[in-house]
Amino acid sequence: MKRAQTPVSYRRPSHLRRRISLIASSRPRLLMDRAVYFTESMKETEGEELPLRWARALVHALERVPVELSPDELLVGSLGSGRYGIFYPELDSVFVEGEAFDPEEFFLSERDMELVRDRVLPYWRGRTYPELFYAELPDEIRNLLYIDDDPFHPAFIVQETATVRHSLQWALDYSKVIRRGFRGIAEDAERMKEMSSDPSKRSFYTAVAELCRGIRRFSERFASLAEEQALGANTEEFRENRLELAERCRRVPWEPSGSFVDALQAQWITQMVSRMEAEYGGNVSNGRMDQYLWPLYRHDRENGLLTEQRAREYLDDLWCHIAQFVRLKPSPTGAKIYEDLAHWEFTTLGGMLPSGEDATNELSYLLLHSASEFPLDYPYVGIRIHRDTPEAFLRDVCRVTQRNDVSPVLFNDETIVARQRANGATLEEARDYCGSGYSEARLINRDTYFVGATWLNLPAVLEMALRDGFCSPNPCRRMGLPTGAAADIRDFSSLMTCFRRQLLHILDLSFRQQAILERLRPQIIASPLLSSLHDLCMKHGVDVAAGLVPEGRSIGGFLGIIGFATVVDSLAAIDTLVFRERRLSLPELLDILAANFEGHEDVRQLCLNCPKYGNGTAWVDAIGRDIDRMLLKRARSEVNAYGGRGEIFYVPVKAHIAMGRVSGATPDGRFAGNNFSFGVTPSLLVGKLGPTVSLSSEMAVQNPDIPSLGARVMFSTLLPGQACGEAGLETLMSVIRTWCRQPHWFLRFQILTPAELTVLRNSPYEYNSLFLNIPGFNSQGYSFPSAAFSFKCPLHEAR
Amino acid sequence: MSATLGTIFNIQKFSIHDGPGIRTLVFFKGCPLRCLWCCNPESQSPELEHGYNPDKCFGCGRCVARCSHGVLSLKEDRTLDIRRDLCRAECPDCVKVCPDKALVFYGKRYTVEEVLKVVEQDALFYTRSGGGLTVSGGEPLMQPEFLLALCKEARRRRIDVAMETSGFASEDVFLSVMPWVGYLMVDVKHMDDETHRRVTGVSNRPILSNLRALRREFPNMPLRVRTPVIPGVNDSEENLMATSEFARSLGAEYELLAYHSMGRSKYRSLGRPYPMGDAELSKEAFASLREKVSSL
Repeated sequence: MKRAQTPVSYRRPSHLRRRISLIASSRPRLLMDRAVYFTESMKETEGEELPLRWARALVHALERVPVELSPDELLVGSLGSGRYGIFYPELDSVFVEGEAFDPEEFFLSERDMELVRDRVLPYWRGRTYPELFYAELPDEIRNLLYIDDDPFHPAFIVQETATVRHSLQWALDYSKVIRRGFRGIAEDAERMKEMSSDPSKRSFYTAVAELCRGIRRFSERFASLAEEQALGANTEEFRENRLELAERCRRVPWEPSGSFVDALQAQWITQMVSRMEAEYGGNVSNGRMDQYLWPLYRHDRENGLLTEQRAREYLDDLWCHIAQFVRLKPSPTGAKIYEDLAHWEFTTLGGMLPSGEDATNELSYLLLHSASEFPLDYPYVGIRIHRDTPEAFLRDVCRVTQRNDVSPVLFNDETIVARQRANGATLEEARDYCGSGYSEARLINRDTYFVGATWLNLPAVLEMALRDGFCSPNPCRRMGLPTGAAADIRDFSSLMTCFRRQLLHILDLSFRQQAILERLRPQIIASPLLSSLHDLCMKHGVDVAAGLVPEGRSIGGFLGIIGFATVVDSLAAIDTLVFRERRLSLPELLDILAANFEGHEDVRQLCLNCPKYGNGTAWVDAIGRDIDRMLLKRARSEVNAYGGRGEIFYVPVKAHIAMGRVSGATPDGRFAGNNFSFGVTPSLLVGKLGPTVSLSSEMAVQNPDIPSLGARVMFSTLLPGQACGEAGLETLMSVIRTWCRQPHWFLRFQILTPAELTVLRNSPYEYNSLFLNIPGFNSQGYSFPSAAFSFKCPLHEAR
Repeated sequence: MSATLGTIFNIQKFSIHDGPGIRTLVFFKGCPLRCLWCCNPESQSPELEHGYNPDKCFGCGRCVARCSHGVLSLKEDRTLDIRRDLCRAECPDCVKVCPDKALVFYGKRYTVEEVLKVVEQDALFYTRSGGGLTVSGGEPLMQPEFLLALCKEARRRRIDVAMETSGFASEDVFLSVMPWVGYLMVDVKHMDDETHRRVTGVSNRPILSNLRALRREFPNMPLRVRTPVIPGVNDSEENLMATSEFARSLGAEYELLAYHSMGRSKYRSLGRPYPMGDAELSKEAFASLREKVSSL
């Protein structure tokens, strides 16, 4: 019944090609308008409840920010013609005042800066999230987070991201907007308000209702632009197109969507408002697009109202809108951990229906092709794979992998659904999970935890164990516990004891600072739009940012582990060289590391040639499993104020670059300043036995008795010869089929030649010419933001 | 003892072009042929032997200090001089101390159990891809007892066995392993006996007769005949057509493999000259040959 579509060739019309090249060639610009109007309103509403103030400020901005509509656009909803980002004063104003801030980097004029200095910055002094957080920090945590207590100088040992963004990451429930329109939501809110006597609930429902109407007016502003363009149209075709557009903008997203195109328009306006409301890690996600768009797509196709060509043109335009909006971060932490304008608007395809049947439909194929053939590195596509994923769909996914030298992100439904179940979700809920952010899974009407994650530099913790509490990112101060000098570590088990003590100490501090962030957040941030699309928030009249939502499933602080393979390999190298083979003493090794292997290339080669994680070596994998266990046990014993259990996830985003850059050489043979390993992916420092063995090793470091909800990011590197041709296609498919039956979470293939691997490995800074669509690899130094470029560059074209 | 120990020079994971599905390749050391173009020269001698890459060598001399047989010495330029004839390969201490594996030993003795332990690491991936173990070489039939033991045991563990061979062996040996082999790949280098002797050092008669015997005894064995197309050696249309015709008479698939010179650096590490010199096979020439053969 579910069939593969014969690929119909798509011809991208000239206006879309023009639109794409304009976007690609434009320099991103930071827009200050939202900040100005948002602040204006916030000044007026002091004393009200925060969700209402937020909604009013947002509406105030929606009604006033300059909006643009280019004649080439098919969907409305942009704030500029090229690429732009938004300035969020509630997070970043302190950094714009800093000396290091260069307006030129963000394409800001003198007038922009004047406006901001006069009308925005003064109000926010002392009120921003980073400032309030900084003020609350006890000394020992402040030392850990910043060098010399300077908030502009993150130490990258423990790095919070809660003050870098409003929210962790999320996928909105767009289906509500499509099915009911904001009118339906506003009417719900008004009815609930009537029924409630609690002033705080009444205020929340007012906020939702006002926001919904504000969104309607925002959309109507674009309708006026389209009508103006219709007046000046020089062809009848264009005039009709603009009038049709104007009519659509007056109708959706206020009314329910009546067609596929209506739904796309409603989705983007909702997303745009969400981006103005709050900044998410890697942008707000697209959700299960092939599900919520499917009924209207099918209807339009069956009734001959839509051709595939037309659908793909509109999808292209949606991807363009997404590509236009970039995250520009004026804060030093933000710039480094979201280097290269990192983005992941997770677009979930495939998977299961709540009933357990396969969810793939014709639209899944169309979206897959549309997204993978779009020439810019947008959108971020994730495929849910389960046992019954249709052969034809899997084949298409693998073809895309062959063509782009990188696969869409693969999510393992079998594992993820089971883990959701083990953490309190019903079977139906669990099957309907949605990819979110980079690699997370969310139940979008049940989960309620939104505080940004904290990242932990694991190699620095190992250094503390080796150097009596000191580590290279902040060498002048003892960061850890005094566990004794290296010379006194006589065997591997005492080393692991020291490591464990240091780790527990740092985890303790990390969860303490996360608790401060969690306590402060409800006073600083509100999310009326997100809440209006969340079942539980609407039912109970609470903003989701309040933290504790009745019936909600709260997760505790998310702790991201950076450099897992680096640490496992380092411990394996120490065990081999120092304790088993006694080739050199621990203090000697530390001296050589301190000198960054200078004059000791032979020792570095010894280190590189030690057994490594990812090669099926049982005792090395056991080290990894021990560490994973220590982390999970400790995290899940932590219960936060929202009632959630702490979680460990292995999702580096770009933090492995930022943290690697400030850290010294490691015993696995890595030079100082080089990237750490990525997620739970084995380190790429040395040749491996290949993808099958590294997948088995990844399985061996897991602790399956602890059903963690944290994602485990795994990349698999293939040689072009291993993935080419029909044999390669069959191989990819069978690997995925096998992978899907193992307890993995995430997989992404990348296809590289050994020469390319060597180049990438040896020159992580110089490899600028190629922007790979591979987060594990692209390292473009500090050239943020102007050099960041986002063309997909399939390797075989660069070869 | 020799029945249970085999000399293996490499075990390669995740190979997809040597038999169906995802396969683990087990390379046997030792080969009766001496093909000029051999890209695995370390596979030829049945003995363990030193491989040495002077570009990686630090000249630290750790290995020299470990050798009590006078095999290794440092030359003036701090690279190694290796007297391979003096080495008895009983004490591979020299390679253990090398910091970056500039000095290695080609070949290691394995038991069947040890080989299968490595092969079974990927067992999960064989099932869904239809893959398994591929014995290759060198020439697996040079170690018939070990080969038989390995194939039998693999089959017993439900691991599919494919074999890559030159087919050069006595008929008894050749046929003895076939009951345990599920897929066979045989290289026929030349149809003319005289030329075959000149470029591989041996006659092609046993190879051709073994293949006929195989068809007689195992008519249903999936068989793939391959010819590595070597410029100036066997790239004449006439020869390839004849080979193709022969393959067809056996009911086998026929495949041409393009010559490449990727084995060149290995000759250097073994301290031998590269016999093929600068010969090259152009992509176009190969494509047109392939075209002709497939149009047959």
